[in-house]
Amino acid sequence: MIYINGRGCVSAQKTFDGSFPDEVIAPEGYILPVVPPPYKDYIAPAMIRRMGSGVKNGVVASALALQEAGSPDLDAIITGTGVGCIKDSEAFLTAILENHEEFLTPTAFIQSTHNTVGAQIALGLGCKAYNFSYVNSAVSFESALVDARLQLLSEEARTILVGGVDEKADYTYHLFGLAGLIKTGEGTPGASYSEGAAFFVLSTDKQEESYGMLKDVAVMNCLEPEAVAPALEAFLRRTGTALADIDAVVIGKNDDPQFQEYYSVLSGGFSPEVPVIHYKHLSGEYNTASAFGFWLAAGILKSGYVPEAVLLSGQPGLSPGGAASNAATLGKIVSHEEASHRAANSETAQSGAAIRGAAIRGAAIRHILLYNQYRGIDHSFILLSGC
Amino acid sequence: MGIVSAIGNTVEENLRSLVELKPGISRIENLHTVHKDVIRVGEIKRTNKELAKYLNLAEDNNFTRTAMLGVIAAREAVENAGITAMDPWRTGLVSATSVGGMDTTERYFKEYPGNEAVRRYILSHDPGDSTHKIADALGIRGFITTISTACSSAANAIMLGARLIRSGELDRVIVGGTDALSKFTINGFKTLMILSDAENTPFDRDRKGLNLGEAAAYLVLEPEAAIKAGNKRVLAYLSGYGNANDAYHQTASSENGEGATLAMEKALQVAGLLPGDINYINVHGTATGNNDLSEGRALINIFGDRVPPFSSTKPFTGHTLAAAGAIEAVYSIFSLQQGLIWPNLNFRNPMPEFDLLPETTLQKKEIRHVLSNSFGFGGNCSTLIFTAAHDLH
Amino acid sequence: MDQLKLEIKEKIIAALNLEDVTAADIKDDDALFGDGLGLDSIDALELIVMLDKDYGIKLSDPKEGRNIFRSVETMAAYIAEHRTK
Repeated sequence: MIYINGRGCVSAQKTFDGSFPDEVIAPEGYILPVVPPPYKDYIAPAMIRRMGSGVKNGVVASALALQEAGSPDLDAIITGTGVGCIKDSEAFLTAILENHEEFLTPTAFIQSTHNTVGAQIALGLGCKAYNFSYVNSAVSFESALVDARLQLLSEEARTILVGGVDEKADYTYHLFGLAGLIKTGEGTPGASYSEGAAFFVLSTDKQEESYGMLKDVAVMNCLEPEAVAPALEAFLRRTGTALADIDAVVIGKNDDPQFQEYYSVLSGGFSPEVPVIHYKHLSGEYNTASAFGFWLAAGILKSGYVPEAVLLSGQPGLSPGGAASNAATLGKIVSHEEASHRAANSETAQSGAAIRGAAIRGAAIRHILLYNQYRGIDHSFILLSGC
Repeated sequence: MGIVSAIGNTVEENLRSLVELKPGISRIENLHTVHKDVIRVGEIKRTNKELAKYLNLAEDNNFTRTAMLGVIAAREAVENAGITAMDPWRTGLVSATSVGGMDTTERYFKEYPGNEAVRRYILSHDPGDSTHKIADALGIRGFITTISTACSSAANAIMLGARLIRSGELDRVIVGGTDALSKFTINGFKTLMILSDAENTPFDRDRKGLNLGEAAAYLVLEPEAAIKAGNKRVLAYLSGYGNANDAYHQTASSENGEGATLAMEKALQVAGLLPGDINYINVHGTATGNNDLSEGRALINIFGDRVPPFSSTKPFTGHTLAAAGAIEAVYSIFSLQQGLIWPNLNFRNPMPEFDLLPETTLQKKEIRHVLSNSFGFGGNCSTLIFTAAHDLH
Repeated sequence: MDQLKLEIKEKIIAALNLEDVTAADIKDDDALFGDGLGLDSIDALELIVMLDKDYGIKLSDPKEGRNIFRSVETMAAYIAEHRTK
């Protein structure tokens, strides 16, 4: 069995201090900024000065996950990153082109390497274990999960740090807009984008505070919409789970008008009361946004709550004695500025606790299915189960 | 297996160049860089136009050089393995690349906003793009992924492939890596002051740094059961693999070669072999001051005063970054098949720090187990062990 | 010379992104590497480019930097003697 023993997330929501989902930041614009955690609490000054945002967010997210899991010894660090350290990559390339290959300095080049996040985490921890980085667009994080799962099941490893991280870069995101990936106006193709990092401690050791179990993960490079249902069936058969056993579905639906059929086909296969959960309206799209979905699903599994802000459809049964009327209240929605300001003053950890009613209590959420795809390719299924 | 490199466009051509001791280091021709008269590279002497024509690509294709080289090598691998269809075997693809489509990005980066005609290349920058194109060319549907751990990437792709097979997750995995020369990497290594202006000289006292190269190579991994069922010819066995992190510095290797030592230890353990069983080592041997010293010390850590015959084949191909682990896997398998040890070209003077001497001539010898090292930025250290086809039966 | 030293300190802080350091924090004879300011081999490469770009001094071997970059004092002396711009 593979247990999720810790999680950490830096995103466009206040995930790093646990304020989300009780407190939700309303997205503004088509490129959502992350809520910055207090980086210097986690990273030594000598290291931070060269780090790009992806590395910093990755290091903080991994530190949060490790802290929750009780700082275990790691047998592997496995990272997924779609675009990698694109900001340094962009900076170095720009310098090459503008200075005609002269007067170039090494720092941006060094930091641009796709495995910088995993390497810097290892360097910070002094961890000499297995260290891989996967860079296959929207299944980068899932590839890392596949690798981690194989090593944990074969008992090659007992505890693995696994995560997904992507960063934004101004010019590259401008190009993504030109290429139709990022929405540039109302009704244009493309999705609202962001950046972020989410890391998890997976282990064969169950802890009291474990979030749940990773049962299985599958990655597919291409699927036609009509092949989604058979692929799901095959995936569930492999895990010995029936469609009726699935208590909640987390989908990677974004606000791109294209490629939505995949999700409607998938959720159409479930009875209408099964809660369908989405998150990219709050996290933004990026290649490893699905790690945010995993973070969210792990939280739901542990708490039994489906936060209102992420519930797309479905009527989860209420817990015995649960009050339906309370459940329907919306979470507190704040602007990004307000949230950042309060994060900087780091007095927020408690502020969310008072408004916990902002969630719907599911009768029993035992099995959560996650499905994600990006622009019709790089599909993935993940099955999580309660401990 | 399939391969395209500076010393040949096919498996056969690569083997011939090795046997005839013909290196592929030259002046750069297909890429415009202000450093062209200073640096030497392991360049494949085929232009993008020629490659596109060879692959029958449509005029408006958005293939990068990295993707084209990858498709060429992966196709050869599949053909050589006698595979005519992917079904019914669950087939996957694990490919490695360092900078993905950078060769194209750096050409059009500033042009994209103003020139709609070239915008189709924006999306081929993604490191997963070449992997998707290879999968499409081969008709692979299912598990595909891309690994990027700098210069150990392809060795790691091979390692994941082995894991996917061993666990029964897949019946067949095509593994390898592809990287084209780019201004980005040329200038990057130049800022680190580890590019040599002469032919690279691994493990030499006066080594001045590396020559960059470009290449792609892929191997077809299948489990014992599929081999028996299909009555297939086995080229070699991947018997051991190990990855460890130096956790010492973002780019440099530790002085005592700790990460490399751990990687070799793990690989020997997985293979169930003792250091004395290894007949030849294809070292990482980039000819930078730091790598060769660190790797040499790691060899001594593992093998003591009985370091087996070793050589770096980078004087033939240049350092092909994310492809290197796959290129050298092919050359290691050649060694097993041919009973040959490849010479470490350009070697003159031993390093003062230890008395390790690489092999400098082509040698005939019975070889049962070859160990191959690949190390990358971020302290990433990988070791693979290949065993002769006849030795596990 | 004092002007040059101040200039060097400011350039070091900017080039190496030493966020919490000011020119006043760096003494002329403070060690830049190791126990002093804590710079490393990557910083040395950054400083080599700085010499080239701002003072027209080319070093071909990073090892040459070791003595030059010992402190702001030694850097200023070397630059004053070898600068071409």
